[in-house]
Amino acid sequence: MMEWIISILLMTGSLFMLVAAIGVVKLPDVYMRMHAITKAASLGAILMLAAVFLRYPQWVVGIEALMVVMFVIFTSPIGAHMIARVSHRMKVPIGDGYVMDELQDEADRQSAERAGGKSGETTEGQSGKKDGGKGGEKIDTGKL
Amino acid sequence: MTSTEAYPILNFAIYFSFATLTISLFAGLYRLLTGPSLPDRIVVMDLVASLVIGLIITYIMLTGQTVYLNVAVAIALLVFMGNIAFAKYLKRRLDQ
Repeated sequence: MMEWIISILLMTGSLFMLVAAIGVVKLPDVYMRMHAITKAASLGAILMLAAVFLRYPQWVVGIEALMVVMFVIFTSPIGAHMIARVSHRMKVPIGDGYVMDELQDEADRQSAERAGGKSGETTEGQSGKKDGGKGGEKIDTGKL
Repeated sequence: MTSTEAYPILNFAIYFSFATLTISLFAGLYRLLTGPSLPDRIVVMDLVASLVIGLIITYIMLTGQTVYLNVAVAIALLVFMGNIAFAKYLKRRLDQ
């Protein structure tokens, strides 16, 4: 009985990963591909880790499987969030079917700020340029 | 050598999982080679990390060597660092 549960968990997890890979190939732009990976592949990894814990029910295996699950759950959305912000700022082309772009206002504001800082630099000269660079750095880390 | 010969269904599931994950790796390779932009390729790195975790787990099921779970822990941590580093690098390249 137990081996049936383990087998079903293993096959379901690998099928979810296959769904993520098919999504990466078929979906039209980088945001939709990210949507496919961060959810389907994480669910696949979690199911397979549950299978390995059911197969070897020991403390070490359980703790390590739980660690991997926690890392995947906590870090996958953060990484996808940062990559999505950067690709929005890079103006990566998007596919059809989008109805709104909630980051558009902020992107406009940031580009306006950067343009304003650059015009200030040119009037101040060399030392002002150095300060402007540092200011840009600070904005950068704050936004991340 | 294998610890699964007593359970045919488990044996089938393990080889099915190997085949599925290998197909998924080739799909990721396709997107890595033809991805139009740099974020596409970075996203594929995330997918490949998940697939390698799956392959490690399947290998654990095949051989019974549970120490390889340490590799899965290390990969799950490293890919997060790689994502953050790539995002910072792209953002710095944009600001210049």
